[in-house]
Amino acid sequence: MRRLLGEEKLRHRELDLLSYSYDSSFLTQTGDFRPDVIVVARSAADVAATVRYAHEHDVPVVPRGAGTGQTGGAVAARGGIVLDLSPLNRILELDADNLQVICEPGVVHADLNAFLAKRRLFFPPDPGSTKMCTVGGMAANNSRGMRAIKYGSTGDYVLGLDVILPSGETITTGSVGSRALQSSSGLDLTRLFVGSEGMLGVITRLRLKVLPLPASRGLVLAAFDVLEDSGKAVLAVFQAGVLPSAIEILDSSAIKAVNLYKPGLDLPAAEAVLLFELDGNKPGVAHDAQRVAEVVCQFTPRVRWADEPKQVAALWEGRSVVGAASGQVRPGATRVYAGEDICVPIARVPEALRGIQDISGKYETIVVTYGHIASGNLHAAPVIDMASAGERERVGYVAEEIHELALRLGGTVTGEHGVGLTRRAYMTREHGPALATMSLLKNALDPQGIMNPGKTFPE
Amino acid sequence: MSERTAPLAAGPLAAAQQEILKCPRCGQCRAYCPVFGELRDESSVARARIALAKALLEGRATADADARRCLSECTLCLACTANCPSGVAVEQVVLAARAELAQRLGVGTVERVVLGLLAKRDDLLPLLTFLGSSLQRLPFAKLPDDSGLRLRFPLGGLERRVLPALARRPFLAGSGPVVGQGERGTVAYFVGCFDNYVDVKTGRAVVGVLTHNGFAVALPQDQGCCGMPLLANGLRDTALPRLRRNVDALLGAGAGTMIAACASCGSALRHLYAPTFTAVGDGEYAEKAARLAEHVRDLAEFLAEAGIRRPERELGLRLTFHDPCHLVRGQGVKAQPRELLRSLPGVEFSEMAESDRCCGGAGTFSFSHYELARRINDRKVDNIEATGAAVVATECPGCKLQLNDGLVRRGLPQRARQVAELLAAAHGIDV
Ligand SMILES: Cc1cc2nc3c(=O)[nH]c(=O)nc-3n(C[C@H](O)[C@H](O)[C@H](O)COP(=O)(O)OP(=O)(O)OC[C@H]3O[C@@H](n4cnc5c(N)ncnc54)[C@H](O)[C@@H]3O)c2cc1C
Ligand code: SF4
Ligand code: SF4
Repeated sequence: MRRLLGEEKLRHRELDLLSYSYDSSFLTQTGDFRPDVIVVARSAADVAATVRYAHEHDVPVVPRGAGTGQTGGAVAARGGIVLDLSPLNRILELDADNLQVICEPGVVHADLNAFLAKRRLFFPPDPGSTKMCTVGGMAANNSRGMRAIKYGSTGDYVLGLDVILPSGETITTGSVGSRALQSSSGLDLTRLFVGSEGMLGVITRLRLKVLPLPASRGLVLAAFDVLEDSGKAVLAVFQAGVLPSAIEILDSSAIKAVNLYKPGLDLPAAEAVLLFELDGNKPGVAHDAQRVAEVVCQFTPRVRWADEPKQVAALWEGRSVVGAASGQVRPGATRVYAGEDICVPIARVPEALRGIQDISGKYETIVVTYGHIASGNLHAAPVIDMASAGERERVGYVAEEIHELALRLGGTVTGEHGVGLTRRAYMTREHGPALATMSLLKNALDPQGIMNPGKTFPE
Repeated sequence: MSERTAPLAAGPLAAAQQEILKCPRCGQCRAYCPVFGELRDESSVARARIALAKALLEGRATADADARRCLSECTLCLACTANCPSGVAVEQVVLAARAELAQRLGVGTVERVVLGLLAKRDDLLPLLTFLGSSLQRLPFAKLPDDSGLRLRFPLGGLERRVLPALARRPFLAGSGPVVGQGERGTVAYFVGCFDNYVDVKTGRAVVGVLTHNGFAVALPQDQGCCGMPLLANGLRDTALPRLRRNVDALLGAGAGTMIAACASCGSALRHLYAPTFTAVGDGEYAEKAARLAEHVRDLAEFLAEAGIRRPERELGLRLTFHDPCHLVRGQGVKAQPRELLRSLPGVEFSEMAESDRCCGGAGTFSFSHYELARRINDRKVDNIEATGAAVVATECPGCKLQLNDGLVRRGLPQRARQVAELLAAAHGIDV
């Protein structure tokens, strides 16, 4: 490898192995996931050389972006090479006339949107990890975010990819040399690699669709005394013909957390708070916000709306701090990422929230829950004392029961974060025979099983 | 068996266990850490330092030169801490880990030399640490402007490091215990090493501005280094006696407010002293330090709130302001220096991009990690240059030195000045 890549791109000292042995999952904090070596890629040629080496020597290779994933996806489950793609962070070309941008996989999501905003464009998927996650990681995880209800997933904006296959060969998906915004040509390989969690190949270049940046944003905040009414209100808004760009829910645990963390925000005490975001042109936003407020008033009198940027930001603050707030509901404890991403049918969100509260009570573990109610995606945040072996063990059961709950309610164990190491156990139940087809595809592309082994498929 | 995980080590790191365990490795610090911004290697970011500290605590990592490098590559800029969603006080972990490594591995060569001198002159120790890597005999040339700074020309190298010239007489040696009449009350001035031994003119400017504005200034003679250079280098135990003497000197000065014009000194007095005493189990001084902390104010913060007399002189300057890390995040002071500067006659204020991003100075860091500090500084200098300002004001002698180093190295005409110097000029005070 030294000969192939040069010593300066290799990391193999104890400190390096430690630094690449975690992502944000609770799991990687409790086990040992050190690789044997790290390659810090400086070019697609480095990536190709690394994968060819792995192929020839039958060594595992694990692609890694920023390591913000919550599933252990970017760590070495079976040793081998971790391939750090975050230094490949150039925006290669903006083709504004054709509404697309070409970039390397290590570009950080927020940097891409800051670049696009200057041209009044944006790349709509918006994960909470925007400041640090890479677009390569987003494509590999098919990340979503708050605005998925209106704008969809990362996959909806990936027009084409350069992928280095486990054999070391490079292919371009989405038609070589194409700048078309859509295509029905051939099998949709782009969609195959999107969400493949680094198990089918390494993405080295992305062609992404961008959209005009909405000029204005409005917000409606509503507090509900009865959790179930919040679900009814969401449905009624849809029935009134309004499609908000986001609908977020904070349940009573999250409201409490926010009020403890920032008492000045003074979120209303309630079983649930909903935040509806509207975007578009200014008169349209004002109209929609008013309409949403009227509809929601049928379920609760406690409704406020705003379309001035400062007021919007003030109303939104409760949502923007909830992640930070959840970790601080209990002094000295920490929020861990486990059981954090279930997705249930929207009509069953209230049921899921009550279910999570029951699990929290059963295991005497604080769980703060918030999420994207419009798509049924709930983020449960267990808060534990990491120094307590008992609490560390109990949180494993909490996560397990939350995942079980999602399946029981007709949902899925992960709405946007992926499977990685943490949710392998549910794959057979969730997918049935389809899992064997997934395995077939994996084997066809990676017969040696060198590409991010140990992930997604149950052991 | 106990349910709680007991740390293996009972050294300084054990006290930081709770902070260490709070980090779920979300990675947000990747967006803020200036060191990671330059090196872009996972082992250079805050969460890696936390992971290393945890592994050291649990006996899963070796205390070796790599561990020391990882922990030393931190400017203690607080950017990670200020933006950490889990509220991890990263700097506390880094300081504790450095102290732990100093215990396990011993201290470095420079520190050893300096420690040898300690027995005789503890007041000189921090300065010597600060200038540690400049102790070699190298040719110097005076800078063309009258800033009291010198250029160092390493033999055979192209790099030039701006170094301060030592003052002939320390600032405190030339001043009485109280200066001025003080119709608006008495404040105590905590001078700090730099303005005491090097930039005595700034020390004089601070006293001049305070007295001109109606405050008597007490200068407790037993004050010394704030201890930051020692704590930052893992020499906590060495620092403790000095810290105690500072606490006693300031509390005994008979002043309601203690003023610091060095962001790092102010931040240490306000936020580092009490936890340091607590960590070593010194309850008496932890309590005294907490009491002291409530009365410490940064000079610009204090004057902006108290109000200043209308300055007589037109400065005729375009100014920008660099927020020292230990002022903006360390003490939460951001608006006040700007307010003061904008109020000066003939000043046009131009805000720079990323004004609160670390300049790479960080005390001894800019000497021990010159190349890395230079890279961090380059971005800062670009931002200063883009404002078109002739002077970049700041509130920390370490930042001033680092900013001037970058400006001189790049051949730019702009210079860094402390707020006190600019106020003195506007008030027509001769220093
Ligand atoms: C605070 C926080 C908030 C979050 N919020 C959201 C959210 O709102 N929505 C959401 O969807 N996710 C969210 N996430 C999860 C995570 O940030 C996203 O999944 C993100 O897209 C991962 O990007 P990354 O660069 O960190 O990838 P990594 O964690 O490094 O990798 C993730 C997976 O992608 C693979 N991979 C990475 N790069 C490549 C590549 N170039 N080629 C092939 N495979 C690759 C890895 O092997 C791994 O399996 C959040 C995480 C955190 C910590
Ligand atoms: S931002 Fe805080 S919690 Fe997140 S990885 Fe960095 S130190 Fe840890
Ligand atoms: S204090 Fe500054 S340099 Fe140190 S880890 Fe945090 S952000 Fe990085």
